[in-house]
Amino acid sequence: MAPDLQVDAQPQSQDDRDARSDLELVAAVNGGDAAAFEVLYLRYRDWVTGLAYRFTGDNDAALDVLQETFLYFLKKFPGFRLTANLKTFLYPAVRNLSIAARRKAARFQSSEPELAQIEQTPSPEVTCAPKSELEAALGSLPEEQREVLLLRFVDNLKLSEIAEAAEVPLGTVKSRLHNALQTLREDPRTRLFFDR
Amino acid sequence: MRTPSKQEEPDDVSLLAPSELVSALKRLPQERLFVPRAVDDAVVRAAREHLAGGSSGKPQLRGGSFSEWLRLSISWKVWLGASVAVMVCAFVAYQFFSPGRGRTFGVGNPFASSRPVSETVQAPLPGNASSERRMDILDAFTLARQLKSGPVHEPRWDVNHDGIVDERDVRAIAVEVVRLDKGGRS
Repeated sequence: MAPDLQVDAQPQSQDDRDARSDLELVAAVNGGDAAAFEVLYLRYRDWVTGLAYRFTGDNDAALDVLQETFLYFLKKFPGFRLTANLKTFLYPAVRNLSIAARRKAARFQSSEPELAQIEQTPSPEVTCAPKSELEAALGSLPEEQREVLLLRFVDNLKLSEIAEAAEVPLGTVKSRLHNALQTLREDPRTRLFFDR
Repeated sequence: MRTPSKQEEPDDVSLLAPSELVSALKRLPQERLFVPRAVDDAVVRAAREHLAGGSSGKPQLRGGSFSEWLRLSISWKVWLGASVAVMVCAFVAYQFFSPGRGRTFGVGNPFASSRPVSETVQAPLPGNASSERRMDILDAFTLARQLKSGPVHEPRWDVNHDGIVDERDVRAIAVEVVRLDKGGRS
């Protein structure tokens, strides 16, 4: 992670005291309950922020993406139907807004032809100085494989949910995850995890 | 030891990860990005306004990003400008090409005679040397155009003196003009 990250010093969120499921909260928001939306926001705020930071590598950009994501989510109400994990719905929004934020930031520094390379540019996780060998090994993975790996084992999404979130076929998700694990298995920096 | 996660598909061994690797991955994002209270307040406020129906329909962040405001204002202005341009073009076209009407500002068809029938042109009597000016073929065109718009009641246009201003007067003017021209050249 970037050296300028601050440890979160915020108090416990209101979400910790609310035992309602996401489905119940969405139903409440559809009924006009703003407090229920606040619970959802606090429940997923840190995940969205971390994901946005993963894509943008910039604190301010991540916060902008956080706001834009929940504004986008808010516009779906009333009438929003939660059919899967809410992360599945939020992920593509965060990704697309992050790409737009990176493109906007690069526009001030790049000429037009260089903009075409923005999306191919590896996410900042690759360019930042890694703190551990695991991070270095992750940095060597192609971005799409790294994302699938993290969504699976860090964000705990099912493969089908990852496919829906990333808007790719399930087979593609499986292929990327398989290749990512194979690469880490063969990487001297992470081989020990597989040999135990 | 592999992690038998509840999310994994059965029999998909190649997609399993060692538990130590999963633990190490989960430890990576422990340091969370600090979210200022102002950001939380802005989102919550937008939610309250939107869900209470107090907004105009689209939730907005107060003091939202400048780029968002600029995008909205540009799109509004573009539409307004386009509407005004269409209206101006329609008005100009109506002014120029309508048959005798639409002379709100005295503008008419530039390709037609600019002399309204009711004014100026004192259609002189044929051959009258003391007339204000000599007739010409434009008088015939002018009268013909006005007759298409409606009846003309100016007595001076009743060239054939039959008590009615009609296409026969147009023909009379044309004939007289030709006669005078031939007479002028001969």
